[in-house]
Amino acid sequence: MKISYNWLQEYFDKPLPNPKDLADLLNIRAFEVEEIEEQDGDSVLEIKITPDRAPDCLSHLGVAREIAIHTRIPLVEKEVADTVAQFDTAYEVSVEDECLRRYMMREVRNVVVKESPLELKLKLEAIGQRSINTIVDITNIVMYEIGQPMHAFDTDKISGRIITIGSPVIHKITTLDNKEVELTEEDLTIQDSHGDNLAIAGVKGGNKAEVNYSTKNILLESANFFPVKVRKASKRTGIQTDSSKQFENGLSPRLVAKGMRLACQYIKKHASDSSTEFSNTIGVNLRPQTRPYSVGLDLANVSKKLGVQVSDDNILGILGRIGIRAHKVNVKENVLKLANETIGKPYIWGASVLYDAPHIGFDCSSLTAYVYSQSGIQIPRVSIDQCLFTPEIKKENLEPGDLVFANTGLFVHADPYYETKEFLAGTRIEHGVDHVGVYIGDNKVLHAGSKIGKVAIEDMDESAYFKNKVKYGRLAEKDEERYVLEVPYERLDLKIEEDIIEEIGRVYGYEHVTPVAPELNTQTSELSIYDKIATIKSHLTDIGFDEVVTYSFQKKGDIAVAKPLAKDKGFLRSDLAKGLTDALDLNFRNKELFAEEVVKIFEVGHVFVGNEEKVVLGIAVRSASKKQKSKMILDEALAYLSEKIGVQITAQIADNQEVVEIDLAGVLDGITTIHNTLSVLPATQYRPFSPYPFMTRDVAVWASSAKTKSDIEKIVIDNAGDLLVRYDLFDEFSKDGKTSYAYRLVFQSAERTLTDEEVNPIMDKIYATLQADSDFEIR
Amino acid sequence: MSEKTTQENSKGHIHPTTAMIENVVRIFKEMGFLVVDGPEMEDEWHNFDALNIPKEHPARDMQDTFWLKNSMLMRTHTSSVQIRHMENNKPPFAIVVPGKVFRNEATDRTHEAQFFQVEALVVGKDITVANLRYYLETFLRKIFGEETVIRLRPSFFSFVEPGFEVDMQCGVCKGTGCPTCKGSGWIEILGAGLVHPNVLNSVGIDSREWSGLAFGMGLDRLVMMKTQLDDVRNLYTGDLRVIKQF
Repeated sequence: MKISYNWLQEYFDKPLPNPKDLADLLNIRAFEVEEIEEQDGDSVLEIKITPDRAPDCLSHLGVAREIAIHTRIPLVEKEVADTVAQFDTAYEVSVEDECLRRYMMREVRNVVVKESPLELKLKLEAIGQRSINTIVDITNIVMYEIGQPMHAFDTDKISGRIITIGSPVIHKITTLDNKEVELTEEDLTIQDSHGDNLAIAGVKGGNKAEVNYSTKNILLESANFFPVKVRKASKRTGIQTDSSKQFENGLSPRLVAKGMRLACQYIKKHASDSSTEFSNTIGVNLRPQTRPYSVGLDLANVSKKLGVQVSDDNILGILGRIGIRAHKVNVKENVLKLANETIGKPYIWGASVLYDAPHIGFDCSSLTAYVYSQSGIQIPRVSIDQCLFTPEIKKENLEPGDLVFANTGLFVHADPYYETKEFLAGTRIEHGVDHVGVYIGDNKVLHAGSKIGKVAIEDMDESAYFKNKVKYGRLAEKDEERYVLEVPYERLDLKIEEDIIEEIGRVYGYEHVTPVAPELNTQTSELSIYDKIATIKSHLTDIGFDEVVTYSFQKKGDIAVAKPLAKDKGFLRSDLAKGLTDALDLNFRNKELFAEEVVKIFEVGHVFVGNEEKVVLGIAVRSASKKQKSKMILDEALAYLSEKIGVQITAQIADNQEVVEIDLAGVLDGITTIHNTLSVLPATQYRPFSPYPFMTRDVAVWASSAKTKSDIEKIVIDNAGDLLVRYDLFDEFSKDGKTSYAYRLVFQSAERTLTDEEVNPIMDKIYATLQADSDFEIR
Repeated sequence: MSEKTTQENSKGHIHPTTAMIENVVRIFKEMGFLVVDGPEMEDEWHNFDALNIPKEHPARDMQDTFWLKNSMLMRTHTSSVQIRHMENNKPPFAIVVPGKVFRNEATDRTHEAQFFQVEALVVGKDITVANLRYYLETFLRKIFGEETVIRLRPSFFSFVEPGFEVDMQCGVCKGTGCPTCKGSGWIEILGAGLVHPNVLNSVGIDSREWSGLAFGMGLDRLVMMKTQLDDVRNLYTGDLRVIKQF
């Protein structure tokens, strides 16, 4: 995300460190600053916000908060006052199920739509956005400022007074940039009373209610759509916007009202005159979060996880800077206090700890999860998981605040509660668990039960729920204390103690963590498949085979790829033969470059036959030699390998066969001796190869005893120039005091295809130089 | 000019990636790690669910994952092998997993749809960030030299908490900034973290008793860094003009 340095400075009274230092600080403490773009009078930081931090940091305010944490320069958060309602809107909002958490609209009449003032334009232009008009710019600025996407509709272009958010009735929309987009049932749109789509929710506006210079009256939208809905629509339509990116990663519903307040304030300032009027606020607020999310922290765990001693004061100081409120509680006292406050609250099956506790209602395990999470110990959500999670105690040791688990036998569960759901999922609990309550002393339990319809206290032995008690458990000792941390609303990433420890670690600074070797005893003498395959590779390279790695995707095969990269990569390979044959073709053409008559290669790779995956060795040979046919070389290689690894590999190889494949499943089991001659990759300078064809020339010469090979080679090198890529002596014999040397010369250019006209003069020069010397005689 | 002749060398060449893997594996074996391998074709549970990657996470989308018509997928990382190992073995253990992985992305000089990764996993008692730092430093110093300086930056991978991006100080400019490190003085080299408790719990390892560390890196990039290879696609054409250089 692009973040303007000048814009950031607005949140601070004191000057920020210079952009470079700021970037360095963010890099090691928060997120990667990929680039600093110097602009006229501003610097723009390109910051890579990780998905976990998108909810709170895809905005200038979010980044400013982060800067305040690390620089300790106080953040000055501007108060955003609500704009007073001057009339009641006639619009109504209707929301279909399961698509959003919060939706808010305000009608504003007689807005002033014009070119934006310089102040707004500069902000948008700095971060690469185009200024459109006052209203559109304001909605965008609110998003880039606090992370809440906003939208504005021209009411004079909307049919009727009912705004519906739901699955589209009409399956198309023309977007603001005049593109026709097909929609499906699964998309989510904002519709007017006519059914026309005014926007793809959270993704992009439609042109029907576009705000432009002729717009007088608007509906301002601020919403919290379900991330999945937005992401899927964005994917399906292929439209990704800054708004859709904000929604995809989740946002706190709390931002909705804040966004609306801020937008109205900016409209008052930049897009209004004396006739501008604001309506009341309409919309829905479904299952609002009633209190901050809380996480328990045992301070000792911070140093235990980080491996460096961080003092309690330091930890608490860091938490404060992050905006996390921490208070210390005696776990069990707090559990009992909170439990008492829930008495009489309704029973709701599947109640949410975050949204329904403590006012709306509980089921048995949401009650225990709630009282413990609010007392610094997070436990699993369902009773059977809580049962496994909670250490067992004897009945006679029961103390107030402990948990009692039961199998009520009252319910016929479609899915019997004998296996844990999320914590160590699938662990079997012999007696089954479907109920839990808090022991409060005097043989009494406090619990939420459907048959009593509420949270109540009952005698443990008389209650119908606890006839069959399965376990007594303890989550905290009597004096145990914990910190209960209230997480800021926008920090959707802080869910568990480990998340908090990471916060402390990064603010404290990982440079303070010094390496410590762990105490582990994990040595093993077992031969790994890796070692066995290395053994095979070593033996084959020992006898001159080169190893290749080819593509796993091929044109044909047994298992098809749903969306292949290319037509010729539509299947998983069912053999190595195709890839190896292609490699033979390629390398055989180039064999002179390696001065070889035979190309010998192998690959060890996974192939997919039927629905099975196999590890296969493929050996491939192509030979230009009359004496050495590929069959012979393959037979010899298999015999050699069999002998060396001590496992007989048999394969029928036909006369002209070039590739043989061996399923390694049976072979690997038989390997008991490791022979690993694999080299480790040296630091080398790779030399790019020429894509152009090479040419070969042979030169044979008689040399007197006064001359040696190197005299000839010097003449070749001196005259051949840069186009000579290699020369190899391929024949040598002596007769009557003279020696005959035959060389093969390979010429190639990195820039062009060579021609005879270029190579012949080089050869002529070599011949001429040799002939000028009476000790040489061209053959 | 003498490099223009090659003396007939009867020993063949292993693929540069194999040589890189061997390099890495040797270091881990010295540190007591077991080398483990597993299938390239995976189910969604081992590749995503068990790694605490939410159901609707963008990484599961078509663009990143090769889904197969048999409803399986090509593993997008070797972490799936770690899951399989954790399911079938009791801690403590230290494993290293090299292997081929697949991403459905457009290819270019530095990106291939298939590439190699290596990941390390340690599960034991009271594993700390300091332990992670120990392994990272030991490993990277053995690969890049004893003078190697590293740093940990906060980052996010759903299967670890806390999560890190690990940088090495640029070997060319020693941290002062140069074209190789794009002026930053540092080169991003791998991802790391302490294993997320959800991951341990999902494979039946009680996260209150055991903890873990994990890190992983792309091997193709490492090959490119060590050899100045200019196009990663050259590694998978079977071209001996490339392979015979190593």
